[in-house]
Amino acid sequence: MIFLRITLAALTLGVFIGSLFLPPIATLVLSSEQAETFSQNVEPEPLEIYCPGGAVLQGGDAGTDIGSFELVAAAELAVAGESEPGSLPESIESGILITSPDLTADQSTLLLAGNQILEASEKRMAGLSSLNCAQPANQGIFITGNNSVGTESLLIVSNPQEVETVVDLEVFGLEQLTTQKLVLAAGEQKYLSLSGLAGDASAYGLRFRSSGGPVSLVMQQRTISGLQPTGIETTDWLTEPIATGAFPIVKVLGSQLSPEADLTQPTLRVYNPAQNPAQIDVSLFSSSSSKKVNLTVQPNQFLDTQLDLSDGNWSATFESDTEVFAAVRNPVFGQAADYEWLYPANEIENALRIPLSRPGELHLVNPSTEAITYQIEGYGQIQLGANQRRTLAISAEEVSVAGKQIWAAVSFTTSVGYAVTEPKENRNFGADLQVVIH
Amino acid sequence: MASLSAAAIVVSHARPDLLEKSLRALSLQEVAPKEVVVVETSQDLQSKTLCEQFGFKFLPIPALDLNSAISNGIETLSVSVEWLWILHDDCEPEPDCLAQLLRTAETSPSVAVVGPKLLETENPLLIQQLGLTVTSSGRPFVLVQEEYDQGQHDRVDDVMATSTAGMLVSLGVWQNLGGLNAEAPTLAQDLDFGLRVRTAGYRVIVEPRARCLHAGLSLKGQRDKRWLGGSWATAIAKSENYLATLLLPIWAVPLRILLLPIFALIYIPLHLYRKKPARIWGDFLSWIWTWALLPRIIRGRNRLRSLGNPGILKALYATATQTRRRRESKLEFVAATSESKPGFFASGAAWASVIPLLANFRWYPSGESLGVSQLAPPSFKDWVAVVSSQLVPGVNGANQPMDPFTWLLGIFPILNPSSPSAALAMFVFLAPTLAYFSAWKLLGQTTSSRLLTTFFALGYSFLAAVSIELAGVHLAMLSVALPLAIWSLLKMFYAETNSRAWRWTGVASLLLSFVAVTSPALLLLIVFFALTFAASRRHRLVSFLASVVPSAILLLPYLLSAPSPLLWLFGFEQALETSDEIFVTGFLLFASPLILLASFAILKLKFGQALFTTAFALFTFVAGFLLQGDATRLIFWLATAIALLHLSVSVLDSLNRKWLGILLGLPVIIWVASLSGIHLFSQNVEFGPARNVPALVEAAAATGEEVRTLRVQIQSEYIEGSLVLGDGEQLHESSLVGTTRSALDLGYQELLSEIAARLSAGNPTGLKQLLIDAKLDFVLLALTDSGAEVAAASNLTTMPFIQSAGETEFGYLFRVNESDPAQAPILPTSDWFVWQVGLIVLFGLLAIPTPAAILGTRRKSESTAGDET
Repeated sequence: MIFLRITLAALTLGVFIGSLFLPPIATLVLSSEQAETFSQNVEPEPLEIYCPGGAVLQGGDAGTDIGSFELVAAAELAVAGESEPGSLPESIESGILITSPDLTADQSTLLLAGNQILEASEKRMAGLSSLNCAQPANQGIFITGNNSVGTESLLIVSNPQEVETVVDLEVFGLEQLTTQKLVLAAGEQKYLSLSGLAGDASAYGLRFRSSGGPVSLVMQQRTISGLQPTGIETTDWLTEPIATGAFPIVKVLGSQLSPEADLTQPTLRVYNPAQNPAQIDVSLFSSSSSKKVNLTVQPNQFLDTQLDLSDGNWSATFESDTEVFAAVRNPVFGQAADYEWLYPANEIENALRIPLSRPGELHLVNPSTEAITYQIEGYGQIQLGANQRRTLAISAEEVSVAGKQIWAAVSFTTSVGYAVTEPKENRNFGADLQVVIH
Repeated sequence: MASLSAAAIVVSHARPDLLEKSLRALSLQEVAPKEVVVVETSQDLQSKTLCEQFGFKFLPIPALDLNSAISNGIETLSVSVEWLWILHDDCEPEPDCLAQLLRTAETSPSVAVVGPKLLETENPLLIQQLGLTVTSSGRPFVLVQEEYDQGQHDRVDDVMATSTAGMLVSLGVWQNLGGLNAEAPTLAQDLDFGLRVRTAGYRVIVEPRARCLHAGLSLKGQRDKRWLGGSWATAIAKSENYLATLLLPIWAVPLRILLLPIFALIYIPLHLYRKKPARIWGDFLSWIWTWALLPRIIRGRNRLRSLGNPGILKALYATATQTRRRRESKLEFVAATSESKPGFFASGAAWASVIPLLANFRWYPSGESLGVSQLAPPSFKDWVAVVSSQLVPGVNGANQPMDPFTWLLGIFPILNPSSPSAALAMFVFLAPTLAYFSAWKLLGQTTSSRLLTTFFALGYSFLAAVSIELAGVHLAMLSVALPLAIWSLLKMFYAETNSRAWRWTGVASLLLSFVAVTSPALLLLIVFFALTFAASRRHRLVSFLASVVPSAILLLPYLLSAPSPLLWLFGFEQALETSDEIFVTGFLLFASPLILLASFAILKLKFGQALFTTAFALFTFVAGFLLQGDATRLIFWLATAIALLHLSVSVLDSLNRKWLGILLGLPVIIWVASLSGIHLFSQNVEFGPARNVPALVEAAAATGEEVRTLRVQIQSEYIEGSLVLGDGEQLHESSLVGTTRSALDLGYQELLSEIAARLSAGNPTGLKQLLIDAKLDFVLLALTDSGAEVAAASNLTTMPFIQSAGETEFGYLFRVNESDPAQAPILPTSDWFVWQVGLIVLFGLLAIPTPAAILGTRRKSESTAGDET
């Protein structure tokens, strides 16, 4: 009997442990999922883009006229796809809404695209800045806020719609959130100094949401060193956090000349909106060298990291275990000191058109794992392997790129400064919509 | 010395062992009967040898009829006697019994029948019977029963009748009256004879000094059932009907007979409450017997009435005081119960329930429900509508079979009608504590050590908490119900009395229903093992089978309507969006101390017990492992854990070396600590509003119309659309079968997809008609991380046929103007519903504790006939 007991006891242990290695005889994947996917083609809303216009100087010539805003630099306008060639002004002071006349064609930058460049050479404001004319949006986020000494940030808020709207602003990244509500009449443009909302914070973000129609917001910054203006910069908004991204161009110039690193070295800014820390691997590469940086960003925190790069055209890619917002502050110490806030390039599928009002450089990067062939109209075909970049000088009035996936930016360098345009896809919901019905 | 002469007739039926004792007692009588005739009514001829041995006359009569046996015995008498002494083969008269009876008969010429004091053969100190009478309703009533013989009844007294066992009857009267009425029910024959004797003007008395031991085989059900004409309960019911017909005034007789089926129905709850379910069947059989053999009963009445008016005998009926005292006497003394151990509260174990309460305190409901993503239980109205139809209303009349788990969800609207969600949240908070109580009760059956019981029960409560985190309300229900169900089954199997067994049958049936509707697969497993267990407790097999009846009736409609057996067994799987990774990888690790102890149990414990429980543990474990359904695994392994806990507690309890106990108990301490750690540091429960749709939609749904809301979520790559009916998906609609509520036909799905696409694109062309065609009342643009819905909502505000209803916690809500509301589906009442509710109520009555069921004093009366009369 004792042998039987011992055998059974051993068998019991054996079955418990052995069952770990048993294959399942039935996997009860009893899905009751009744979901069906339908492909729907709906005529989308007419494609509209908005170019916000020229640069604004706050406080008058001397900077003492509190509350005054003065347009000091008009923006050169370059549009492809307007209703009639030449129907748009070459430069604009205030914002302009441009609508594609073709309501039936597939929407993309091939149908309508715009770009603006402004050049300021004022006593208190100097530099070059460019901006992609984007589709107005109902909400977005800026992470480039900086009100530290020598930097002035203001917001240009435009309502291009025919009905009034209320825009809720929320500044975050400070000790406590500050909010403001702006009521904009139809077609109204308003300027708002951010010092009132963010104090002298050196890093903060701003969320906006329009309860009416879509709006356009631009964060304009200028820097000044002593009495010397050291740059002007305009950025639009980000839409959502991402886990991977690529910056096509991070230009480093004059790193050996300037003793002040922040005049020449790019700084990567990351904001982690999640509830857990984000681990981020950043890869930087130029045609001749590369560098890796690992970062940890705490929840709801900003992190600024100087990248310490040598002179040259660099690209940067990053991969994060948590979706984050990222931007690079890219100072360029060329003929004049200037800087630009860069956003990760939007991944654009198949085709991209960028109108240019002056010659520039097209920067392409391929952060994917496979080679991509690009057809650049007027410039031939190029192929980029994984993690490769290319810069092409563009002298034409527009550049069109075709490729499976496109990450691109265009930079401009003049005697007054340096500017970068990051194109976005221009498309409304409608064509080839995949609708899953549960 | 009496001058009267008597002959004895012993009626025997296949019990030569008892007959021998009876004949021996007969042969030792101080006054010997002039002649003794043994009438054998069976084919057993051993009694013939006995008769030859004692020198008595033997007469084989192959008939079960007592009157025929006696009459045939009389005919074979070769001597002339005045008195006849009737004995059964299970009677053992004391040596002076006949002498005392004859002496009494001699002193009173009007006496025609004298009965002895019948004492229990097994305990001669107990009076079994001292005369018979009837209650005013005609029910046979034993005048003295189950009382210790202290001489308190030792006086000659007039009675209505006496038992034929040991009865001394005037042969002349017997012959004049025609002896016993063979057409009367067996248990009424002696009373019928007594009534006729009395009505004819003779006296019937008992002589307590004449003592006769009586085994009472017939009344204890130890005779062939044919002798009684069915079960004891049937026999007594027949007797009551017969005697009532004899004694009632003529105008009342038809009324009573006609109302018999009504009485049978009315008495069902009472019989269940009294834990006498056998009487239900007896009442129905008796009713049929009465209607079928009415002429025979009327003949019996006429035969009695031809002798005179029995109304004069009312003075001899059992009085109200006597019947009340009889009821009270059954509860006068408390029999020793097996539960001498202190209970949950008396032992102080209740204090330990503070531990799971505190450990679980972060689950204390801080909102009205378990968060926006959690589903709410139905309102009482919805619940009744669904369970009464066994259907979940579907779109465009496509109703779906109801998930049986819906039955349990009724608890929450009953507990808190205004907010069933709040009741559910509170239940989830309390569930680990209740699981502790539940496990404590079960493990308390295994060991007398309160410390062991409490400790292991705490371990189980943490295990339950971890399971609930993974699988939600189903596991909360099951973790509480499962140990209690097994506990109540054990109580039923080991009940010492029928009353107790039936009470626990009632409790077990309700708890098994909990298990059944949560996991039909687990119920089947439990039934299989319980049937195996019942092999050693066969007398409780009927009780066990009865305990499964409510489960079966609840599951049967589902079984008949579920599209596949897998759906039937695991139909709620889809409701449990859980990752059981912790269990898959962690169960063996965390259960390893228990598994080791279980293996040790096979070496240490009673072989059968260890083998049975280990087999259950292995079976549930392997089944859970092989059937990779998330919830199934959790549920099966909860059962495994219970079996392992039982084995572990048994082993530790059986150890007589303290150091070995500590050594083996150490891993268990680690096990409990690990589980508590997992529980304490796991993700917190979120609480939110009770609604799972915007308030406006909920309010519209409350009006009674079928409100349809299209929920659209704009993702970066695609658009998701889903139809929300009424006040949103609720728990009873979340099962695999339940989700088919939203099963839409392809055409309707395509219609919704077009609407979703147009809404997302902000294109109003034709949208109004599409919304009307789809009978949509609301559009909800759900919130996303990208905020794409904000732009879409902005577009919708410009459409004249849609009215913004504001931003809600669920997204942007729009009301469709000029909508064509769909008619609320009308659910037919299921034929099953009445049966299901009826059976649950009846088994609920069975579960209600009564003093008899708790104290167990019925034990004495259950085993004797006297209880019933």
